[in-house]
Amino acid sequence: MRLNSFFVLIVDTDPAGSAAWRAAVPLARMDRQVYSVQTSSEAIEYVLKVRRSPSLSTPGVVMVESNRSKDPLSAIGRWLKCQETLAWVVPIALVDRRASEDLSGYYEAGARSCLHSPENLDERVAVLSEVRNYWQVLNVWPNPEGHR
Amino acid sequence: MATRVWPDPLSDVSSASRTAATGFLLVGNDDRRSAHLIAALRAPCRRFKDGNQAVAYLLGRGPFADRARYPLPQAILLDLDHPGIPAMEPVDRCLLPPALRFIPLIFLKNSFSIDDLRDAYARGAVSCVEFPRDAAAAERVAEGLRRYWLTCNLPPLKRSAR
Repeated sequence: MRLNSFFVLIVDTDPAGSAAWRAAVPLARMDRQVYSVQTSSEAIEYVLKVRRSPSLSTPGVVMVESNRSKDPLSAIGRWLKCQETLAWVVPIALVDRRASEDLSGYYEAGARSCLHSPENLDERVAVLSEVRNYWQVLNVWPNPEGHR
Repeated sequence: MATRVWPDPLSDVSSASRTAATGFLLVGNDDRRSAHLIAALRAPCRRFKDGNQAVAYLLGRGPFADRARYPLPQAILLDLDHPGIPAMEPVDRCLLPPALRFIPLIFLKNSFSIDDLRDAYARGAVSCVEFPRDAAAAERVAEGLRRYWLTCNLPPLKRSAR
């Protein structure tokens, strides 16, 4: 089943990073499909909010900029891991190129996929495009409404 | 949920060989469909007809002990569209030993029902993808699988130099 409204939640603690993601969204043709927050608390609050609202969709993908945190997927990763009804949500860790030798910690923390952390606008557009092309176009999701 | 205790299959191999991973490992016992899938993937893909063989490979047991010759995969494809689904059980991600549990496990099927999907994700599927019978559509799906899991994704085990 395809998600009626696929969208991506990005957690990036750096305000400049959030702004850069916002700039990348239209270039990746993902207007209204990306929402960016700066903390895990905001991300959890947002997911809880959309789950309470029948008119809003739960994000299919949660991308966590992991470079600026000692905690691989930060609190949102741990939280998602504990939510049985959100088992279909895909946490993706964005990982520094220099730290990509040993990724077991990211996967242990609940990441289902790890991607190189983008370093500029073009790379951000590329990451969003790859995520859309796979997770929106190819992946088949269980009926999200069935989990509400 | 079933649990199984395994010895760490990677504990007795060198750090270098334990981290090299390349291509796909496909589990599917339909020869024609597997050949079709492998041709469409256009990537290194080692295929096993049943889960027990695949697990022996993943664990580096018996003839598969030489990791340089039999590298671990970057992702595992489980083709569910064939008789003998029980043969898949050994590859169930929940049952794999910890060191191998994070290799992405992608379930393939012509068509998934809601129950199929819930079961797949509960069993540890990272992704479920419909693999169509139509050749042109299958090419597009294979391209997407190859691009995301072999090129973009950073696997838990280091990619081998290519």
